[in-house]
Amino acid sequence: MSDTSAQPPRPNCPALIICQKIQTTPQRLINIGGMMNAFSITEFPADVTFAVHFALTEGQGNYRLALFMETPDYPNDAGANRHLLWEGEASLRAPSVVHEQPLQITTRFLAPGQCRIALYANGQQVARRPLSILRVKA
Amino acid sequence: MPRIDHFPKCLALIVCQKTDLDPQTGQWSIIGTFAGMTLEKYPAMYPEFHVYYALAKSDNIQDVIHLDVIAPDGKPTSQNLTVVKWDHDAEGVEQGVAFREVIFRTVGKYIVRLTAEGGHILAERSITMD
Repeated sequence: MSDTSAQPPRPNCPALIICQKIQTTPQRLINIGGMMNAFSITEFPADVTFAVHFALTEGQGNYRLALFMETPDYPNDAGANRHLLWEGEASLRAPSVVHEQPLQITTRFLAPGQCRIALYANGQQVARRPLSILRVKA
Repeated sequence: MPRIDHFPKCLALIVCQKTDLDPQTGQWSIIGTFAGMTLEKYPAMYPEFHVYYALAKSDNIQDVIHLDVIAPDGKPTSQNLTVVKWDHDAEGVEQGVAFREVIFRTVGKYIVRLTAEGGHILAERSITMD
């Protein structure tokens, strides 16, 4: 059992987005291009590069962040599993602070099916997004 | 037995300069996300900003979705209403909503609030005006 009493409050994640590309402008604005809920793949296994954007707010303190690709029934099924896509840290000074994180991810898909992208802050899930992996003809 | 309400789950709520739907691919793009603005004087009329949201399908046939900009005094300063009719095989819906000529009367924290029927809050996002 983990002790969460000393941890900062669970932040709110108002956006978790899977997309083709993310660009940060010189004015520190973020452009998010080509949002997706599915990947269409002709041949497995396939190495796919995509982008993820998330926002965190309503938190205060330091957070260890982890982004996983999980099977939809994780962790309740014996066959469920997950794969770490990225890990990092964020420091939220006050609840009003909005932390925006653009990421580029490359991962290997072994077979078509359903999965989800899930974000954890200090071990607590704060957001998840379903993702379909589709097989298409070349 | 208590009635169980099924509301759509909000997957993303983003405030930005512009949203764009590519008619060829059906993919949305978001240009220039922001969480605050600095304006020279108040009250100020801001010409245009956009809000993107994504909802996962609910158990309802349709959902009435309100997207409001709430001023620091709690009063709505801009409102949008969308009726989402769920197709049988739809998994969710994405929307880009343009707010035009929005009046910001004072500095402070404005709330972009997404609600379903009965005022059930699906998601909120703040815009800090300096």
